[in-house]
Amino acid sequence: MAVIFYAMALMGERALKLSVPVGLLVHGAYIVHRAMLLGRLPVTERLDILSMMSFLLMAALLVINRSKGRVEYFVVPMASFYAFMSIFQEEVNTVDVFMRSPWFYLYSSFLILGYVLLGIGTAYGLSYLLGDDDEMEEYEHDYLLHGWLMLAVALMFGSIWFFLAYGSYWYWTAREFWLSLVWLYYGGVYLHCRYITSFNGKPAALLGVLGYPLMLFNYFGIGTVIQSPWSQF
Amino acid sequence: MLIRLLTSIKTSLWLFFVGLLFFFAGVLVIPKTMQLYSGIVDVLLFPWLLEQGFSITWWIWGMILTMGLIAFNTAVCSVDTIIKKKGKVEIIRLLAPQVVHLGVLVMLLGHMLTSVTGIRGEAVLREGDVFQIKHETGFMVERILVEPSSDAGVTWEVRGVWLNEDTPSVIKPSIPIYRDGVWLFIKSADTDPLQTILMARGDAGVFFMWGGSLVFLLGSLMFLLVRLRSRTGLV
Repeated sequence: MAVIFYAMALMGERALKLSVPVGLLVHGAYIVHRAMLLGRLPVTERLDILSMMSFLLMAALLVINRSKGRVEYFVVPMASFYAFMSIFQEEVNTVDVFMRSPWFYLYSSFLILGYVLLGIGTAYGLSYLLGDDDEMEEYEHDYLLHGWLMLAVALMFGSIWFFLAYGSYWYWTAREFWLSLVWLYYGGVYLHCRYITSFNGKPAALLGVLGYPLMLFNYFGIGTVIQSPWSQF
Repeated sequence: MLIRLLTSIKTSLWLFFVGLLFFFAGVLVIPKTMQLYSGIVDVLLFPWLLEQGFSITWWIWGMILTMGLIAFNTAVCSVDTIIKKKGKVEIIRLLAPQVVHLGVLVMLLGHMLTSVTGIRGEAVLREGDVFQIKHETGFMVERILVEPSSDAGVTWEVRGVWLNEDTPSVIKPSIPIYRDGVWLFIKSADTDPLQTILMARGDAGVFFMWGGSLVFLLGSLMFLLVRLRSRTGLV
């Protein structure tokens, strides 16, 4: 139901200001319901993580600068896609004995935040590539930088959780390698390229946008196309 | 010429690109022999690498070599930047990226230490058994508790004492105990027969990992402050 309200946001600025808060209220009530059902922050299974990502993306749409671009044309489909995909996820409702650690919740929460910020950055990048104001590329840079840092914080909390739970801060799984690859792409390739003075404009925007498919594969490809434990995060 | 190559950001970019390729190779290789790679955490990496054939480990060697070159390039670039820009740009703008780099270098050092040194051990124990970890360090299991839990289905707890110490200790999932450089974790527990698997780890690298993480975070905050100021002029 929330997705219908979210989609209405594409009908214009006035519709956006009315429909998004209503969608968020409906969606927020669902998240609270899940939290009460589980008795904890709903960030431990794929269903809730996708739902939370969708909710935060739409919430961000109300506060980010949309004056010079068409960023909502990318954020709304992204958020709707995540909400839609969450419907097809299996409800687990129990949590592994090793995941009942505050470090795990910090890891998962910052990872979601990182994904959301990278999504917003990508939306700004796409908006710029389609001919919007130069400012959009600066916003893309800002959000990708913040998203990358949130990913780094998530990996740090993840390493603490993993060590305390399993005695090792690094595990040799495809999931861990792909997440590190995403982090290395944004931090090592995109951000370093961005600091070369001559590298800006459309090539920089495109390089930033290309990170998002990597991130999406991390979420939807690892565990399905490529087998790996812990692929639900 | 060599100095220019070592301090060039283009060299860094090429190394990152090669690093990405090795990570990608890892993603493809690991699932095919998951059993082999999941066991690496129970042994030290470098002795394990030397035991295995190069046909299995080529991508790990490649990754280690690339990470080593990235670390070297990062250190050289940071020193070069500080020398060249000292006094010409604001101190926080000069140091923020270097502090981030320092954090990454310390984390890589942590990985290196974890790979070459430390203790790895595991034992199946019943109540009254002693887990002798190293010469003067052992742990006696006094009580094993396996109880149902509302959200996890089951929960485990092991109570016992370190040898030569009277204070009782409790080990729970994700809550290990630490003494004399040794961490003791619970891996599993069972009721029939009543027994537990405890895991011992001595890992100096983990402190470097966490220390490096804190330095990285500090550098990141400085970096964000610089970026925020240049974008808004508010701070």
